[in-house]
Parts: sequence; C-alpha cells; structure tokens
Amino acid sequence: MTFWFFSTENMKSLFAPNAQPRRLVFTTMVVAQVALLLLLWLFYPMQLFPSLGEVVRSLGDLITTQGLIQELWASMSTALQALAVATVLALLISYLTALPFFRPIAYAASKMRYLTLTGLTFFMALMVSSGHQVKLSVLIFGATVYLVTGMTSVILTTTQEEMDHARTLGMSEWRSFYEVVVLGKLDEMLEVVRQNFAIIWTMITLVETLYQSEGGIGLLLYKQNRYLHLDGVLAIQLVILATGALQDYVFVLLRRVFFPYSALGVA
Amino acid sequence: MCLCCYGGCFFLIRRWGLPNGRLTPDPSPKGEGSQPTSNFSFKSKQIARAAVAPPLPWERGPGGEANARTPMTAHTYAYRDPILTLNNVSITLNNEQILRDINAQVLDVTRPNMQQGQVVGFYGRSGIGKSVLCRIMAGLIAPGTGTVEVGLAQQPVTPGMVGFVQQRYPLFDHRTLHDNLLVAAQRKHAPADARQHVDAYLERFGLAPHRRKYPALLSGGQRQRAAIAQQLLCSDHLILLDEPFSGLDVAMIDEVKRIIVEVTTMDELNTVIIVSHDIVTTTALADRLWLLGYEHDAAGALVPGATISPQHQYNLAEMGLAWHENVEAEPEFAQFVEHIKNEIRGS
Repeated sequence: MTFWFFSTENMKSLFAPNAQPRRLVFTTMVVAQVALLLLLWLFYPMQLFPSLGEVVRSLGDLITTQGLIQELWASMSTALQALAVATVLALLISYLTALPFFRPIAYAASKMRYLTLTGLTFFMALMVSSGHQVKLSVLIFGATVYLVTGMTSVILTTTQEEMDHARTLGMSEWRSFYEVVVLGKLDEMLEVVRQNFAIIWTMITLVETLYQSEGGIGLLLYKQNRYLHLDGVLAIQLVILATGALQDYVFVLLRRVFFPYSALGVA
Repeated sequence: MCLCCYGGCFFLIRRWGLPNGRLTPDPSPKGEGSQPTSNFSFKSKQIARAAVAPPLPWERGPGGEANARTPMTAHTYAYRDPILTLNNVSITLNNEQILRDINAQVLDVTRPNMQQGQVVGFYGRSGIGKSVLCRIMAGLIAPGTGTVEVGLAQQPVTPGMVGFVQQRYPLFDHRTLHDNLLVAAQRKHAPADARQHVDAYLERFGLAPHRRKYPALLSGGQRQRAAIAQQLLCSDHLILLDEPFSGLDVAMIDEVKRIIVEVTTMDELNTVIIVSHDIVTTTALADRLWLLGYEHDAAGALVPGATISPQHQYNLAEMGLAWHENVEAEPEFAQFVEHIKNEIRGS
C-alpha cells in the first residue's frame, strides 16, 4: 500500500502544476500529512507549546466541567442569528445598487468594514436594551459590511452580454435584473456568505468578552487565556476550527443541493 | 430571354439587361416591396457568357448602378413587404462616429411552392462597428439619428422584437436547457402552449435528449442550437446572429449553416440577419448582402463612421447566387467573394 502511494506516477500527479491526482491518492496524502503533524506534535513538543496529551486532557475537562458544548451552542446560535439577519440586509443593500439612488449606501456600507468594534459597541449599548441585543447588533453590523463588499463585487461581475441576453428575450429591466443578477448569481452569493461567516467567529470572541452575561465560547477562551491555560486555549481554538470546517462543508453541501449547476464547468 | 434545355427540363433565363444595355440597379431600400422578378430555376453551371468579358453583375458604376450581365443560377422569386428597415442610422460613441447614414431594407422574399425565409448578411472588417449595428438592430441601444423599423407593421424596434444571438451564445447558466427555452416561450405564450412549443423546438433542433442538462454541460453545437431556439421562441420572426461562424471548425460551421437554413424554411417570414466578417460562409447562405466600409471625401480623406455605399449593396438572388446547395463550388461565387475581398481591402 505504502509503495503504491510512492509510485512515480502518483508523485508526479502531486507535484506537477495543475495536475489532477486520483481521489484515493489525494485522500491518502491528506491523511499522511495530518498524521505526520500529529506525530511531530506528540514526539517533539516545544517548550511553550502544550503537548497533544495536555490538549486532549484539557478538552475533556472543558467539556465535562466547564460546559464547552453548551457554550459552543450558545455562540453558534448567536452567530447563526447574526448571519441570517446580516445576509438579508446585505442582499437587500446590494440588490438596491441597481437603483443609482441607493449606490452611495452600498458604497458607505462597504467602507464601514474599516470601523473598529470597540467604539461601536458603546453606541450599540445606547441604542438597544439587553446585552444579547448589543452582541447581536454588533455582529450583524460587522458581518453586513463585509457581506455587502463581497456581494456588490459579485453583482459587478455581471456583463453587458448577460443583461442583453435577458433583454432580447423581451424581459423588462427589473425582470432582466431578477433573472440575471438575483437568480443567476444566487450561488455566488451563498459562496460570499460562506467565506464571510468566519468574520463572525472572529468577532464573536471579542464581543462575548465585552458582554459576559450570556457566556459563550469566546468568554471561555478569554478565561483560559487570562489564567494562561494554554492547553485549554489550544483546545478551544481547535474546537472553533473544527466547527468552522464543518460549517464550510455544510455550505458546500447546500450549494451542491440547491445550485447543482454551480460547480459545472469549473476547472 | 432565352430558352434552354437542361436535364430534361426547360429553363428560362431572363437577361438582366434593359433594351439600352443598362440594368435595373440593386433594388432601392424603399419601394421594392411589390417588385417581382421572374428568373426561373436554372441549376446548370453552363452560364451564358458574353464573347467579350463584360463587367460582372456585382461590378457597378460610380453611382452604384448595376452592369449588364447574365445572372447565374437564378431561382424564381419575388419581393413583398419590408421586414426590417434601417433608415439613416448613425451613432457616435465616446465622441467617435461609429456608424454613419446606414440605409438598408430587408424584404420578405417569396419563392413558388415553398416557404422561403430570408438570410441577409452585413459584412465588415473587425472593429468597424458591426456589433454596435447588431445592438441597434436588436433595439438594445438607440441610434443617435435615424430609425430602425421591424415587422410587417414596420414598428420602431424595442428589445425583444428581434432575437439576438450574441457571439458566445449566452444562455441562463442557472436554468436547465428546457427551462431556458421555457422562460423564453413564456414571454409569448400561455404556460401550457409554451411547454408545447418548447417540446416542439427541442425535437426540431435535436436537443430533446439534453433537455435536463445545464448549459455548462452542452457542447458548442448544442449551445448554439439552444441559443437560436431560445431567441426564436420569443422573437417575431427576426433573428440576428453576431459573428455566428467565429472560431468554429468546418464541421461546426456546416452545423450552423444547417440550422440557419432550417430556421428560414420554418416560416415564410423568418429572417436571419448575419453580421460577420466571414465572407465565404455568409455569402453562401445569404440572398442579400451589405458591406460596411468607410468612404473618402473629395480630397481623398477618410470620412469618419462606417457606412454602406450604394455600390456595396448586393442582391445575391438577382445575381443568381442565392439558395444553391453547393454554391461555394461555383466559379461565379469565387469571383464574387474575391470582389468583396477587394472591396474590403480598398475600404
């Protein structure tokens, strides 16, 4: 088996530019890389870096005594709520760019991604009542500005040929826009949402430390970091990483199910 | 007129010449709707030639008048109502005159005992403004001056009245082939009728086995057929093809030619307008041609904006070069193509 993997043909397919290795070869390579990383971690620990055993033990402790799963769920549900609202808002703002009157709003929304959240939370706290609302509104704001940037750039890829095609079929301007931009680019919008979901996870840890009343995995991470429990920090980071990877997979799955044409013709 | 016997049949060859030796010029854009011509079927390559080689039919005087010459393999045909009229169309884009005073008229051509649509061609060098002309004829942009009128009612063109198949054969990538045709058919028909029309077109264009496929899975030829069928399903007999032969191999060109002939025999009023720089293929299909070029002023300077000069309007039906199955093999065809090439080089 091992010798089969190291055959000249397989090696060439892994190192030649734009090559397409067989699925089995590629999977074997990924498994080997992960195993190598774990072995290195297991047998050659660095001084400051917790060992694999310590991280695993810490993970067990976090799950059993500190409610890691519940905290993860709390953060996840907040993140999903924020993402849903932000997606609707961003789609609305982006689609409204069809009307020149609303283009400055989309432009301004896109530029607001440069604002820092720390100052922003203060204004949010003045406007809404509960800590949860503050958290949610900050996340929605943060995600929306990133989503608008991605979505408007998708809309800008619309070509004159695409619009002309719809018009020559006798469609009105709104109907052409709906067919070409709304329906035609829905799969790309989902991809923008997938890519920007990570932004919410980055923000949520920050927001949860600012508003600690509801807990969440961000607060758990903050506490572990504060008491220099590096094994715990690493364990939580790995959990977030795994959650993110799972989310990505779910989005890819959704894209395949709802937009089967999306992956066709891609090199 | 002279009467010849060929292949057991009698064919009537009508001389073009008027008594004084001058010919009727290429029909003018206006007023030829009821002009009948009566050339009879003549499939022979034995074309009567004058002893001293006279000017060829497409060679014209300075005013655009045609020269005396026996027409080649001419079929019986007659002209009826106008289907598309370009009247003094000019356009300037980014302060550059692109097109100037374009005049052309496509008439409904009829042939006895058959449905004969029209295939007309607009030639022009790359970058001369052919695509702009396409967009004007499709109603996608308004000309700076002049008008485009379409249909038997000669209404000003608006988007959707003229089917327009663009160079890369766009389809809605998010819809299956069936849905692509259905969305077009529903513009003109009630849902039940639309489905029937779509099924009929899928069969007619040999696309029925691919109805559930997305455009990304169609071959180049299938995509072309689909794009043409989609436009036919919602346009009013007029279909405009922008560079339909560009980048295609010989087999694919034959396929597109077959489709065009198929379209023009589906309905008497079906008209295919080919805008192309592929002289040979377009000439082989067309019954009327217009050559876009630049004119020079009295001082010899180039006049901005491409136009169609009177001597660059060709009636291939009148010349006897239209509707032949293998016209490319005929020497007169080769001569005409060479003439066009020379005109393009000189423009």
